[in-house]
Amino acid sequence: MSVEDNKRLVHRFFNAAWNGGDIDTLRSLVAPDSVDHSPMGTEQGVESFAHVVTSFREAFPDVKLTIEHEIAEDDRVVHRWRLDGTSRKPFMGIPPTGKPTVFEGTTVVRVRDGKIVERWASMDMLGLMTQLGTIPQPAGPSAAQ
Amino acid sequence: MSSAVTTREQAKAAVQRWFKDIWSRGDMQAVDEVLAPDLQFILSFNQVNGREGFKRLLEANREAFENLTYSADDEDIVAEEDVAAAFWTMHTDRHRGTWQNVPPSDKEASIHGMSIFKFRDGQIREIRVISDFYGLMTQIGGIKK
Repeated sequence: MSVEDNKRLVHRFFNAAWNGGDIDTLRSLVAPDSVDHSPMGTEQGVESFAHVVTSFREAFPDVKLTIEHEIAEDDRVVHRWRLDGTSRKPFMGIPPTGKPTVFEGTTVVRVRDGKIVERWASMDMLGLMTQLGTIPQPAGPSAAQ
Repeated sequence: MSSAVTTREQAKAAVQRWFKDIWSRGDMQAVDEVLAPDLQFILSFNQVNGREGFKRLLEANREAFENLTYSADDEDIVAEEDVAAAFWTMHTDRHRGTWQNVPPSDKEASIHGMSIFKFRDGQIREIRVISDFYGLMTQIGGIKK
């Protein structure tokens, strides 16, 4: 597998799973014992990958993923992406706003033998929760990192 | 003006200096060496333009968080020519000063995040950060669960 093959694999994952809700294709692209690291913790197994997509698509049914930046080296592919979708159903127990919502994040995936075997995700949960109205707007321009 | 390509190796070395020398040690000489004068430091909720402005942000953060460290394993840095991405861990022994309007909590805190770096002539000219600020805010009591 070349770096270009690895990029194509992740593009397929994004298009099928995030933009199409095609969980069968997702399962064919992720190794059964794949490891998934996120701010919520570390999970093992392809079902963790499926669950993230299905729960998000339930809450934001028209969700569309756009790739904003891509970097790849050896067996790793990094993406900065954004999800645009309308808040229609509860998400993590938070009632829907009915409004267009933007969720930005980054993922690193490690590929082996044509399958995703590990993923590290970092997302702007603060921005999402602010848009969903659960926390006030963050502090002004004097705010630091 | 020359515009020399920043190799993968140079990019990775600069990223490690960003975490080890600049953030974890507060080394202002490293800031001048590693960062371009017109650096753009882009966070989900804030943006700092210019190396001098960044120095103030760095000092404020190192003041607010005792023994602040950022670290990334070499294998968690992915690079191409002129760009790199790093999945990192931030840790502080104690939140001891006001940060983002959150008064000192005396809490220990640790989060993960991802930064994407763009280079010009061997120096970092842009850094875009997506990290678990929501988790940090929760840990220091800025957001009630």
